[in-house]
Amino acid sequence: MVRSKSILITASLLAFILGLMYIASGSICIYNWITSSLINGEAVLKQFIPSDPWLGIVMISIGLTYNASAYYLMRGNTVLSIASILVGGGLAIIVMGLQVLATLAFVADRLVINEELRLSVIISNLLRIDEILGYVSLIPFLLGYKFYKEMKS
Amino acid sequence: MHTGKGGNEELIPLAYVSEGSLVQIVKIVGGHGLIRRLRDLGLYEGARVKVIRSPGPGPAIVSLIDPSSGDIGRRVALGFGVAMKVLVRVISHG
Amino acid sequence: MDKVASKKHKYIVAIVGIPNVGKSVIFNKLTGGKAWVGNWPGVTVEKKVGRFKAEELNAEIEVVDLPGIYSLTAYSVDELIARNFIIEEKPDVVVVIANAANLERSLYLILSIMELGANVVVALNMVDIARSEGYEILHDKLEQVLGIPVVPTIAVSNVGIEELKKSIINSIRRKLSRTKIVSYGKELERIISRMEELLTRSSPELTNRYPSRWLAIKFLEGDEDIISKIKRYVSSSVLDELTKLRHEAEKVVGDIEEYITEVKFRMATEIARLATRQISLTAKISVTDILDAILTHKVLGIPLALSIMYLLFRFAFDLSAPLSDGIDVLINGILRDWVKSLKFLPTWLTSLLADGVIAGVGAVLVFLPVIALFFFVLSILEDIGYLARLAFVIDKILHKFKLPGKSIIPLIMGFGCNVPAVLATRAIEDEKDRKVTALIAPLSSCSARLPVYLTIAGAVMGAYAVAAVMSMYWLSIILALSVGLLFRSTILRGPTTGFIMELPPYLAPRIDNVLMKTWERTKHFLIKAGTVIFLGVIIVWLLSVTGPAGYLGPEALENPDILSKSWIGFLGKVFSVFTSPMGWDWRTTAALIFGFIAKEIIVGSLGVLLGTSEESLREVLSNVFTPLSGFTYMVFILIYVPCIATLASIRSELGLKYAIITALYQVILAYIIALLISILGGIIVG
Repeated sequence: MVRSKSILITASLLAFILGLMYIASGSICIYNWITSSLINGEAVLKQFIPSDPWLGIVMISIGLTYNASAYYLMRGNTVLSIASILVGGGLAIIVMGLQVLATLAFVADRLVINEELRLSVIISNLLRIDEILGYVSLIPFLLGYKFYKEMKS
Repeated sequence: MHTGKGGNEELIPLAYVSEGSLVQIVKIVGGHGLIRRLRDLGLYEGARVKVIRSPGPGPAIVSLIDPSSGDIGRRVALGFGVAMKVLVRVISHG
Repeated sequence: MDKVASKKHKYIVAIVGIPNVGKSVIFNKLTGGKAWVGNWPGVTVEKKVGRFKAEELNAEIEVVDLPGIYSLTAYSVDELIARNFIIEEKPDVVVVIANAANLERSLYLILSIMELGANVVVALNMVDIARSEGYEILHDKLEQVLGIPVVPTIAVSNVGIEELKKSIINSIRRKLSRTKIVSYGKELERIISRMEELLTRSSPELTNRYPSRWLAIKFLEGDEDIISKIKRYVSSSVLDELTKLRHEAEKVVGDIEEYITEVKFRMATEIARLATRQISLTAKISVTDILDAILTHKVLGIPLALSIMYLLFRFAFDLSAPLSDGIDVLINGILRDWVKSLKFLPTWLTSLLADGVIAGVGAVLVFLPVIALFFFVLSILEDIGYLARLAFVIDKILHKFKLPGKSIIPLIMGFGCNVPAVLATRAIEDEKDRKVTALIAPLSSCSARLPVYLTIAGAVMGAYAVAAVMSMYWLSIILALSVGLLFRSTILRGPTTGFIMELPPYLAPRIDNVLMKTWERTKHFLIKAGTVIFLGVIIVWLLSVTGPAGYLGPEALENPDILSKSWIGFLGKVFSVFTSPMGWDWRTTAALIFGFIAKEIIVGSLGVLLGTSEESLREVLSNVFTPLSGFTYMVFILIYVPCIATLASIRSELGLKYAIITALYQVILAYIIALLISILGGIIVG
């Protein structure tokens, strides 16, 4: 039981850090949107962070869920702690996967309508902030899943 | 008469029950339609439920209990207004 | 061997069960997926009939799918349909599909149907799910207690289907009927016997037709439908005696209906308990508990719901782009050019085909991938059980607008296509809630309106294009909620029913189920394309090539000057009297008429009316619209009349009156808001 608990603590810690990063990125997403569409300003970190307010909301949600894990762990609620990691992580990975699929679709689309296809565009799509954080999210998610399996048996 | 479990039991609306409590439904104050719909889902007078989430804001979630085998796990969500109309007797607090 | 086809017997088997129990899957497995689909007479409830062969009996078995119901009262259409079918048509066997993971509720229904005197076979479905939740149902024990055959099945994996067929065939041979399965206590039973005696004596015809015990119980419960049936067979003195007996019963147990239901429920619970065996203690922590703890969390619930909605929309729109463009290239490019190149056909025909049918229907088919993907993801969310949580989480917000949490599902579906959204309102039990939701569903900005927004915003709104399009969606939501509140406070006034919903356990999505649901919802869109739009486009074409002066020829579609002399031009000019305050001329107004048929064809028709090809449409549009009039145009398109297909669905669901109300209120609302924006905008800008 002690070994399992350390898995949960590691996962929770990672989730907490990632959570802060998600919240930060999400906020910047929204900021970028405000500056580029509503008032005339400059977007920050444009290569990595898009000006999409919805993505911002999603990332903040994921971040909050991740942080909830540490919060519940400190209050001794193991069930809610692991649940937060699994739901937050799951969502993060799905968002990442969605972007990968969207990039593939983008490629296919360009091929169909016979327009220019630039490798740099593809790569920048795959290296967007939600992607990077999503790739990293695999770690706490898998750790969390491992813990869950041990808890159930 | 069939109603009333007798005694000086305190009846409170399901809406005021704290999370984790085990309660027994004593009376449902409402029209036929409401009573029937609740019955269809297993919430009838005499049934026992465990309060998973208490309402306000948002609906409540209760879990149906079978007295002998424990948690059945059937979950039903009830809005605040409905939870106010279900009068229960608390068996154990959450 | 077949020539000696001796007379084949025909037997009727009815299938019934509580909702979400796998009834349609079992129906499909039994009938090989082929069914005749119609409606039960007089109502809009779907009736499915299929068949399978039974060699052992030299018979053909007709399988009738009854609606999903929890009980057999007279309070809902579905229940009456099921009940009447069983007692009037007297099927040879009634298969009740029970959910192993939800046994008490299924048992309640089983007991009720047994009391009807039906010949029951129980299919105990989803035994795998029960096992995964840590318990096992002892079906032999169930058989023993109930006295009828119980067949365990896992319908989605084809387990137990053959055994079920055999059991059905055996039951046809050997009819079992246990109407006395539930006992209501000494005193009540005594009264019931006396009532039975009375009924049999005074009308043997009646008791030959329906089981006497059931009639007595229903009379005691005060079931209006049965009482009126009884009235037709017995004299008023008998009725008085029956009523006296009922009063007697009331003195003993109080509210009879309550008592009877409770006794039956107790018995169902007790039997379930006897037949259930826990096999694993750690079933306590289930996946459902874990997920729900977060997904219905008081703080995280709504942000997470919004995130999931984001995923739904992005998935549908982004991933369908290559497919949509592919279809566009195929139909509007290759196919259309090919038809136009067929020189041996008369020009009017090639015009009708290429510019009318193909252009029109093609514009709609381009949306097929978006809609199919949208409903695919939605069906997955539904199958895993998330949509119930969505309704739960969003309920507190919708409640402020006097709308039920369940409305969220049709409203979201409306963003894909309004037609299946209107049909989805069937799932809302309360009649007034259902009507309001169906009335506001067309305000959801369906995918067909998007290209109009994009084209116009892109042409005239400059840097604010994206914001303009987004604001359409916001406006859509705000209007839907406000109008819903308005209706609920005025013409559809009534108490708001509280939120009551079962939260089923989360399940891995079953692919065949998901695909079936996706198809069901997408097919409405395709039917719309194939019929309404097809016809509509032809009519529009006709109105474009003919005018008050006579036939103008297909050149009208290439030359706006000729077009202005056609009927479309005429109508456009007439209506532009009303639309001039908004800054639109007869051409843009005429495009709105096209939009009445289907909003997908507005962009194409703008091209025709303004005399340009799609590529230079933008430029031309920027000359025809100002940012203000363009924005107003977008708003008008968002709100005004839903496409004909949607109106047709409203008519079939709610009746002609509500279809007319929808058309009227939307036009009026659209006009008023467009006018307001024009005036206010004019003041601000000018």
